[in-house]
Amino acid sequence: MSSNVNEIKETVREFVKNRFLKNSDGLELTYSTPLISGGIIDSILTMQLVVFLEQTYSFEFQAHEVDKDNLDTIEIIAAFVVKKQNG
Amino acid sequence: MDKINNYFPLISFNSESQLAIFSPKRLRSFFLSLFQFVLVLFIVTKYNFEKSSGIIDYAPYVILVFVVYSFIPIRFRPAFLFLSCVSLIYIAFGILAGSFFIVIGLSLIFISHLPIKFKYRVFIVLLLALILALFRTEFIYLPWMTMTAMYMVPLFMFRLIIYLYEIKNGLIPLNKWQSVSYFFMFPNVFFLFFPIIDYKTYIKTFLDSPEIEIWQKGIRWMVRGLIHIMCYRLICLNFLIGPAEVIDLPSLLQYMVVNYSLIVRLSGVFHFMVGLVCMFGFNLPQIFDNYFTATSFVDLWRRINIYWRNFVLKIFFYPIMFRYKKIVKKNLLAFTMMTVFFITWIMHSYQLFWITGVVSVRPIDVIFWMVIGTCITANSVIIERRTLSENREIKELSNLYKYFKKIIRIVGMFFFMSIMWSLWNTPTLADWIFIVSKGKQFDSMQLILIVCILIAIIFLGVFVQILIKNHNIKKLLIAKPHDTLLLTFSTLLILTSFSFIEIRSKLPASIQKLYSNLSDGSPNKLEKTAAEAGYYDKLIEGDEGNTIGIGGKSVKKMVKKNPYVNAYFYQNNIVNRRMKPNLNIIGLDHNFQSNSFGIRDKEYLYKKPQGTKRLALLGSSYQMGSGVDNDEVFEAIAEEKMNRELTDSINKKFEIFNFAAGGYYLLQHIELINTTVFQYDMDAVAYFAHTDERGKVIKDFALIIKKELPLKYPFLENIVKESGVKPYMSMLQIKEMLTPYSDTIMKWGYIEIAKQCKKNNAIPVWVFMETTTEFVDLKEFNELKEYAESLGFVTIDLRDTYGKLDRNEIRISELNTHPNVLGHRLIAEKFYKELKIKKSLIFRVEE
Repeated sequence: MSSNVNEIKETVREFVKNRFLKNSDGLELTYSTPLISGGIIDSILTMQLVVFLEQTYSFEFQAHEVDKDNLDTIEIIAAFVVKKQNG
Repeated sequence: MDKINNYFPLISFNSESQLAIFSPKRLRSFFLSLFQFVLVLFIVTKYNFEKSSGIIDYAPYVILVFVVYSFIPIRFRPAFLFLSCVSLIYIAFGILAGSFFIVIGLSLIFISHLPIKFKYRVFIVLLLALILALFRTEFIYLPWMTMTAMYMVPLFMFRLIIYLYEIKNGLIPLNKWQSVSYFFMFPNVFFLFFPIIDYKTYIKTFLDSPEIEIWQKGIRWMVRGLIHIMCYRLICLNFLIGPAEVIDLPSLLQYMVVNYSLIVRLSGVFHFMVGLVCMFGFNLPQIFDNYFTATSFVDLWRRINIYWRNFVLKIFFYPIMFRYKKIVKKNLLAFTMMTVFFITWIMHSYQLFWITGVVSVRPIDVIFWMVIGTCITANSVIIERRTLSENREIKELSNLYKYFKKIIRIVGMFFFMSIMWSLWNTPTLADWIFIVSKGKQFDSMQLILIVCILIAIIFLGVFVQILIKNHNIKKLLIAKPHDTLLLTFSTLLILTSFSFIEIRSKLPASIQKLYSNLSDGSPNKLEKTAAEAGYYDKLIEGDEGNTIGIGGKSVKKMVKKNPYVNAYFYQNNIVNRRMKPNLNIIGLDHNFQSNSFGIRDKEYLYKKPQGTKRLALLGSSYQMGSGVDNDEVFEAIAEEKMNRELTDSINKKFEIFNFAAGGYYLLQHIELINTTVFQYDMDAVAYFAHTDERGKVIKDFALIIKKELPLKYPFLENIVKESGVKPYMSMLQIKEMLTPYSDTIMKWGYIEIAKQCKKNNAIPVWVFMETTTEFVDLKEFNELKEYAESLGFVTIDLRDTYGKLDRNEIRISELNTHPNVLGHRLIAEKFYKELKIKKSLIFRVEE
């Protein structure tokens, strides 16, 4: 079942904010905030994000897909999720 | 833009990078960057930075390549970069070896694209790697192939893994020049030990920002690199102590902290290299991120050698995690992390092997990686659990508490890494335990001082954090390239102006001294000690006798790693190694023959002919003539001259038997003089002494004990008994326990030589020879000379042999410091003169 891009963005934003940014004072999380290159998430947290995306949107990541090209910002993540859902 | 993207389909070019090549804006930026680049290379030359890489010799070539590269159309640039690298390989290696190098390299890339199953491609690559490994270990020795394995593989050892990974996962480059320029990366030719640049990053960051920004980033990083290297030199000069100098808790702490601080050399060299790559338009990311300020194990892993971490994550961490996520249900992260750190250890040994040719499986490496791996894994698991916990509470903490907590964590991490680094960089675990045991010795004043320093550091750290928070300094620290242009420029100008003697002479003496310390590129004794033990120093320095970069001068001459490895056979006695008779070693850059008696000399008759005077020469690798032809050794030259100029009707011939061999010191000579030397009816025996005679005897004796060789002489057995040394102890401990006996052992040795000479009616001769690296200790020289004379030795003083010549002119190379042909000629001249003057005493010849 494919999801709306904006819905995906919002869901991912909520997840990142609640899971990874609880401790950060006043960091503004936009759809274009760099997550990996900006140092917000590292390899451990990236894997948590991957598990979340796999479970929420019912698709499977390949190891080589876990990189900045597909996960660096919420916008990129949403586009990647849509691409995966569309096969 | 579309046209360019046809050539580089994976790149998102920045619009400003597409400025017309000769547009005024671009020209302004270019000349500004060119001027800075010239200053950087000028400083590298003047301050002798990483001299052995060859970057100093080829600085004008690097500038020329940069200028031409910047003015050719973008689509030709990768090809030009590849051809610049190839030209340098041909200049350094010559046509034949250069062609070998390039063809094998290109074959590896070609194999990666063969239209066969991926696993077969990997198999062929592995097969080729195995063949190269046989050459690298010199198991098979063909100079050109060994040279190719030595210098080409470091360019491919990691990049080929990444390249194959990308091909497997569908990232196939459409521009073949990008591929070849990735492997034959121009700056890599100067530094074989190079950061692992990711292929995807390499091609995707090409001109992804305005050129001026990338150039300025490159300049900034090169300057940062130079400053790191300067810090390294200052640390070495002022604070570095060797393991033997650790005597109490403060010196132990100094040893550990300084050991870890030496990592600034690695970060310096890596910053410089990455900056150099940036100058060619590759907008590479940061490689080190203030690693000394890491607050946890995971934080350190994020900050230190980021390219290595990214390589490990990409090639091992994620694939392992995905492969086992359905099998390992519990503790998947811990399982993956530990596996990854096991692989990290293997990869470090793999890297060390290709660069130095040494297969190293030290228990100390296993301990180091397993402890580091366990700590980072535990830290990762804690972070994972903390983030997974839904109901975790975030405590409100005061700023001051946070600052204290942060600085204590930083100090703790730094101290932990200092301990681990000292472990990794100490030759053996037993040595390290022995050094650490010295920490038990301290007095209350020392303890108070250490605690005070620690408290001061913590308060200073808190103060700095308050300053950063309240004065917005952080913004300044992460300023954009344009804002730091002034800082970079002024650093370059200051460093450049210091290098002019006209300016320097007007400055205070302390600044002049600082310059001379900073610009002295030759490693001092302690640096050498550190390099012998340090993993990264080994990688940066490369093999002994070989340089680290293809650009280095010594590349043109193939030097075998262990040139004389097959020249000896082993015996279970003090001498341990004896030279094989009738040797003729081929494949070296010099000839090496031994005679039928098993000494490096020409053939002599066993029975001394009538009218011949014989002198036995007892020495080490210096006297054996390591690195020069048989007839270039000073002993051969002096002998030839004596026979030409000193013979007469009574003294028809002089024969000097060269019993010297690498690793022979006083104790080996005692054994030789007792068993071998007098078989040949010697008239005199010349024993060669060097600076630190006692220290060398102790080091050698400790090695004999460690190897459990039979001591044979009751005197030596008594020393072992009395001192309480045992073979299982660390070398450091044995040496320390034997040191009080050094004078007694040395004196016993001299007495033995004099005794045997007297018994065999020969004259003992004591020769003091200056080495090319050590300063003569006058006090020691006088003591030894006086003692030798008191035993009846005729003494010969070969000090000041090299006159005012720069030591580099008389050494084989910067790393192989044995005398070269010129050095041997000078020694021969002086030796001959002395023999001539003391002929009547030594050979009992009537004048």
